Amino acid sequence: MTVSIRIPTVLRPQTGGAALVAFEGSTIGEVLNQMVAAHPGLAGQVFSADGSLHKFVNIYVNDDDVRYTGGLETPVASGDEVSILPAVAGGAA
Amino acid sequence: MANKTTPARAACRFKPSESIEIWELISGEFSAVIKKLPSEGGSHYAEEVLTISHATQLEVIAHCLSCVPEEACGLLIGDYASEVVDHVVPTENVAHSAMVYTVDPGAFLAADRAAAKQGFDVIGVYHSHTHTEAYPSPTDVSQAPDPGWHYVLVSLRDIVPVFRSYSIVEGTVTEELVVTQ
Repeated sequence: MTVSIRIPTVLRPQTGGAALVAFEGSTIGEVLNQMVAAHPGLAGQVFSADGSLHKFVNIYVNDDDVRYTGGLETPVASGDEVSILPAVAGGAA
Repeated sequence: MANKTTPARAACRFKPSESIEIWELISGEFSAVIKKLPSEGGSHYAEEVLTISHATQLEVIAHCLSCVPEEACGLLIGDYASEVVDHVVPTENVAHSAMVYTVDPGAFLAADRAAAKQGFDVIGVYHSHTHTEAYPSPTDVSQAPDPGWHYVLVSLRDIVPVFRSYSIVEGTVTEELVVTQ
């Protein structure tokens, strides 16, 4: 099953500038692993050293944050839209 | 009278044509200065520029004022390459704090999708500092998500809000020239 992944501007240098890439898999983990295999520069940006999702990145399948839908085991279907977005935070503290 | 023939504009040191030359000289030097980095003897401005309309700057400031005492935050939407802000998307500060902000992740997703449909990207973030200057804090620097983004700071410390923009690349903060379109 092919799903499209929207790449945020910060990670586009790792995809040759592409804003949209497409990979196959039945879970979000499989799709992301395919993506990282094709674009190795993304590995450290998406995954922590232990293989879990990086804490400063949010992954969405359509409108759902995968942290709340089964993590990397979250199923995906053809036509699903995946978004990778950095956490945006800061402050005067 | 010795000064009877003195022209009315005697107080002006230069004839108009000379004034233009002087202005070109001054403005030329000004341009040169603002494009130099502090290490090169220039001012704190670098070549980075953020172009944003007057109305959009007011919208940002109004949003920041409306959120007092909490910090406000929102996203800059525009063309990533040209560094021109088309519009902003005010977002909820889900931290609801006077000291820190976190852009509502769902609002970021919605803004990113809407921007993509218009051929735009999220090109930066704005937030307010309610009691400190308009300069990125250590927290802002350590958590800056994208070296290509513009980081707009609005300070509400003084009665007159201060609007400034920065780039943050690998921990190095560089002020950008804000060009009002």
